[in-house]
Amino acid sequence: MVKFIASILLLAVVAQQAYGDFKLPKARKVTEISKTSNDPTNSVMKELKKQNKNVILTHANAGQEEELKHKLICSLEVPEIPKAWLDMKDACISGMRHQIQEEINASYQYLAMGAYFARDTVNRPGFAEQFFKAAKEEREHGSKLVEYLSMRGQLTDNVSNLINVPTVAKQEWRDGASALEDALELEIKVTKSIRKLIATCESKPYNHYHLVDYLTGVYLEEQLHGQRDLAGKLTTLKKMMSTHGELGEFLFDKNL
Amino acid sequence: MKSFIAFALVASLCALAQANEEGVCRNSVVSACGSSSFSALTGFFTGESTSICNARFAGIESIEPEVQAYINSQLTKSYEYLLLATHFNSYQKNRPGFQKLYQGLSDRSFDDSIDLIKKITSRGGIVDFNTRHESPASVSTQRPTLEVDELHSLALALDNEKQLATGATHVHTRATHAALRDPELAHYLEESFLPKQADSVRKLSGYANDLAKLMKVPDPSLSIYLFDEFLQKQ
Ligand SMILES: [Fe+2]
Repeated sequence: MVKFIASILLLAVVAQQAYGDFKLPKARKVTEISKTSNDPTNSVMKELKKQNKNVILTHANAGQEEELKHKLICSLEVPEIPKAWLDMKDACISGMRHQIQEEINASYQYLAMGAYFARDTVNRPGFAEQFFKAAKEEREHGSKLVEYLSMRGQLTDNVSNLINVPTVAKQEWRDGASALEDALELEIKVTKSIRKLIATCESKPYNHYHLVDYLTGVYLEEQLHGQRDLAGKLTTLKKMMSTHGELGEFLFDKNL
Repeated sequence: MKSFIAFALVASLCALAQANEEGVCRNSVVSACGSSSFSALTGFFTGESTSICNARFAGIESIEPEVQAYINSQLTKSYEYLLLATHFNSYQKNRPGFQKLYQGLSDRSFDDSIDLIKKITSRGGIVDFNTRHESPASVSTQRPTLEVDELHSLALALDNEKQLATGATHVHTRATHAALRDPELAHYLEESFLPKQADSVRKLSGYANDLAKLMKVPDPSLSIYLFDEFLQKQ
């Protein structure tokens, strides 16, 4: 019991140091409880003091609390290791970071499309599922690029601002065809952006062979097949829409 | 088109049988069907959010903005967790166990977002990804620094999980205490969110306390290494 309270308090202190959002009254309450628990070893502070005497860590609210004398090492030193393997160049790295955000933006846009076609009064579950699936895939594309950067020794810092929560350009569509058209436009934009990234990463004087191969073989491959798929669907739907309108879309949705 | 009108008529007859309290949808169908043009009908059944024939009932009006805020919170946290996982995946951190933990939370929040979107739209609601309605169900899009050590990250995640559980609890409170109650949504939260969230909060509080205990040694590097190994096996 005492150990449990001790660790809660310890954690509260640690967290407070970092974020300042652990409410102190709560921490005090824990101390009070431990004092009233009739346990002779009730003081968490004492126990901690016994363990570590070398560094004094003053409690954020020293005026009200007794001083805590202990040292808890939370952050480990990063040892020196050879750096020559870290061979990605800045332009390519920032291009990758940009592409990651692009993928996340696309994911959000697809989510909005899914949410629109899932509406009761729109009621196109086939479209909705297809767009939700696309949203998941785009998020996956983003996170695979993030993993790639980590694999190449990047992202040891500047991680917090790698992805921003985007807004979406559009949240309502005239019909299924116009959403498919937007989806195709979105993929065209992403394809262009990947091509630009490839150009950046293979440009002189330093060619990122492996990344370029990955982007070409996996990402472009997926883009091209995805575009063909959307173009085919859009064409089929448009053929039916021109004479059968709503019925065309209704049937198309059920077969998606 | 004919079959569609027939379908609408059948639907309206069903509504009649149920003695719909206002019969607004039925009335609109009746007047539209008597109208001289097709366009009178399309207005009711296309994707316009003003359609009278919709799925909105019970407390949807008061709960819709709360759920919207909550969906945006889940998405925000999903990306926060993704970056936290990324931080522990760097060669300097190299903590696959922590990475796995946060990647899992990120995926969960993303899947939960889609689930919530499906829920609110099934009830005739819409989702707004751009406006951030101020609510206890919202979280700040201002991202905290995620380049933190192992114990701090657990504290951060515990706070996050509690924030998400509090958000769901708030939506639930709205569903059960607003003037127009919404037991269906309350039940959904009770079944699909609250127990799972309680488990997640409990798990992280356990982790945080365990690691804090293990770190009460002059050099905690081995403790953290072992704890990471433990997390990998979870
Ligand atoms: Fe993509």
